[in-house]
Amino acid sequence: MKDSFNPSIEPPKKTVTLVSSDGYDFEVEEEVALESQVIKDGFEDKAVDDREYLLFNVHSDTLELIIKYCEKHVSSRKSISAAAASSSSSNGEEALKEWDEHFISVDTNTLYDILMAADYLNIKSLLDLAIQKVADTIHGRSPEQIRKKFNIENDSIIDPWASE
Amino acid sequence: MPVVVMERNNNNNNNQTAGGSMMEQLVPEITTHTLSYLDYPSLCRLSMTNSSMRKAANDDTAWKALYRKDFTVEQDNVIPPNGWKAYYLCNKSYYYVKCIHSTGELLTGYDAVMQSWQLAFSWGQGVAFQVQNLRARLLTDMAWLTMKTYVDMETEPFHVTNVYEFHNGQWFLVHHHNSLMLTDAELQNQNGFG
Repeated sequence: MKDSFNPSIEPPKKTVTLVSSDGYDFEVEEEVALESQVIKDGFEDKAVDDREYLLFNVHSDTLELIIKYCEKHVSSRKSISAAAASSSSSNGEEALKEWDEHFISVDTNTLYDILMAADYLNIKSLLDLAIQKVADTIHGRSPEQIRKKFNIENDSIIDPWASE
Repeated sequence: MPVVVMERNNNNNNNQTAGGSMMEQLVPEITTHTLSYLDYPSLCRLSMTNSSMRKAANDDTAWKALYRKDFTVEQDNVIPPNGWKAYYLCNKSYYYVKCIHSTGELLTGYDAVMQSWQLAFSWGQGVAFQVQNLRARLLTDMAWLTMKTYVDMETEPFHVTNVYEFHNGQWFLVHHHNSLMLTDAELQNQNGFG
């Protein structure tokens, strides 16, 4: 029974449930969900143990990606600070950056969904990552290539310099 | 009871026009945010894709961000009278600054023009011009001057046209055109044929 006072034994992880717009439940660790500033704000506001969040604007496909991103960032932060504490060298930051880059290398529609979800849930690092990706996609492309990439309809054939 | 996470941008959740491209669907705040990540060529190319993108890419916030990136962060005291785009372009003096020398040589862009003028004026202690027949037309933010310039007795006089733009309390020369004047004899000749 003494064991229960041992601080090295972690208490059972608290979890919350995120419900996607299409009605799927995702049970995630609290600290993962708190990556979202919106959820965090709500969390701090209330003492009630609301353990379920209805995310009307995030489809399950996207939510799965978002959770994957948050889990990765929570665990990476831990290992980076652990490495820093033991002053052992670590390329955690580098590795995470690489992981991010790989994570965000998705098709335009998925990128759009991630962007909107990151904005809705207010996950700043993910929003920045997604927006940087959009900017990179535009960079170095001709207007025609940009149109194709983002499915922008060309309505300015007659006079591109006509006033609004 | 479950918590309902509400839309942050409440005024934008009426999903204006269904369809359209990804860029057009992005809520204005994100679009502005995205635009501020773009460099000058990207912003121009995006604005050339269609009318709504052109409108978006004219957003003053984007040009202000671009100005901060390319020039200086000291923006607090600057209120450009014609907006940040004009102010940026003026500082960039990118494509529309032109200089046409009397030889017919055409230079485009701030850097090229300045370089050629450095060459032209670094011969000695500068060049003393005499200016005659100066005519000016002045509008609120644009002016053009025509004049005849005489360098010395040996070289031919020139017709000069200068066009200026007014940006943020300062006049900038944006176009210079210089042509050799015809001498009286040449004029006679021309009239004879004309």
